[in-house]
Amino acid sequence: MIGNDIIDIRYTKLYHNFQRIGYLQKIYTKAEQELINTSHYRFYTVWRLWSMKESAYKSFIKEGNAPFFNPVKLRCSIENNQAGYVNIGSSEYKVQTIETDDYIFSHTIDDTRPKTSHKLISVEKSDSDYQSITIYNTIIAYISKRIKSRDAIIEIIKDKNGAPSIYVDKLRLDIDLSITHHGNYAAYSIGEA
Amino acid sequence: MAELIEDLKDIVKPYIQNEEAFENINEETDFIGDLKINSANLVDIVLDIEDKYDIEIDNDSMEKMLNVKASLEVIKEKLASK
Repeated sequence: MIGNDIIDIRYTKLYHNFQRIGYLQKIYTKAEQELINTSHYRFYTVWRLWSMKESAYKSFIKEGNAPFFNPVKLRCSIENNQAGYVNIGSSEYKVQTIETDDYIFSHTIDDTRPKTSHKLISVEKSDSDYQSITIYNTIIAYISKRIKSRDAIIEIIKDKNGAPSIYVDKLRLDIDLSITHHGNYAAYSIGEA
Repeated sequence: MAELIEDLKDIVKPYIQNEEAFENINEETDFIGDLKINSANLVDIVLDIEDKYDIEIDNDSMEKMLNVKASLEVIKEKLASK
């Protein structure tokens, strides 16, 4: 199942300090720290790895695993500029990452559900509620078109672990969905029919 | 316990994104689900707790720190073994 994560570069520079003492050691394995320390641009490597971990973690939780906070248990390896892998226990997730000057966007790739589309939007305000409402409305508009119904009541409801599902007239659709927002960006990844 | 929860409130305050849940904070409050704290800031909270109480939180303990109750338990446990 799909998991995604967006990181707003500008917002990250303002509100996250990876250079804080002890920070990297709490979240990255020795091998990942080595990758960061030898990379050309440490900032990007730190946050690319983080977005990979977040994406894989979302897939892992959607598969029914219990939530936990121990990012060192999510072990990243890099294949090339865009592709990498995250291992959690005995599970392995392939993760694709896009980096621009403005954001880093990652998502897992599920070989059993290959057709997935991704939509990234910029959000005017960075407050959490506003971001959620904006991306929810974007998804609802998309679903409305996809099911060709303007009258249906479409809702996005999160389960107790935060994984979102789409409901049409109170019935849950079997459509894989992952939602992410950060700073002035939001995105969704959705399985195609 | 009440004192610890007040301390924890001060620690998480800079990172919360939901004022209402913050005002109503209690043992059942979830950092991500309720307070809308960004997961990258959970690390800051763990580091802030370590600094505040001069304790070291190993990764196995950190693993549980997704809500107020679990965090208070970890703090108490680490303070007791100091």
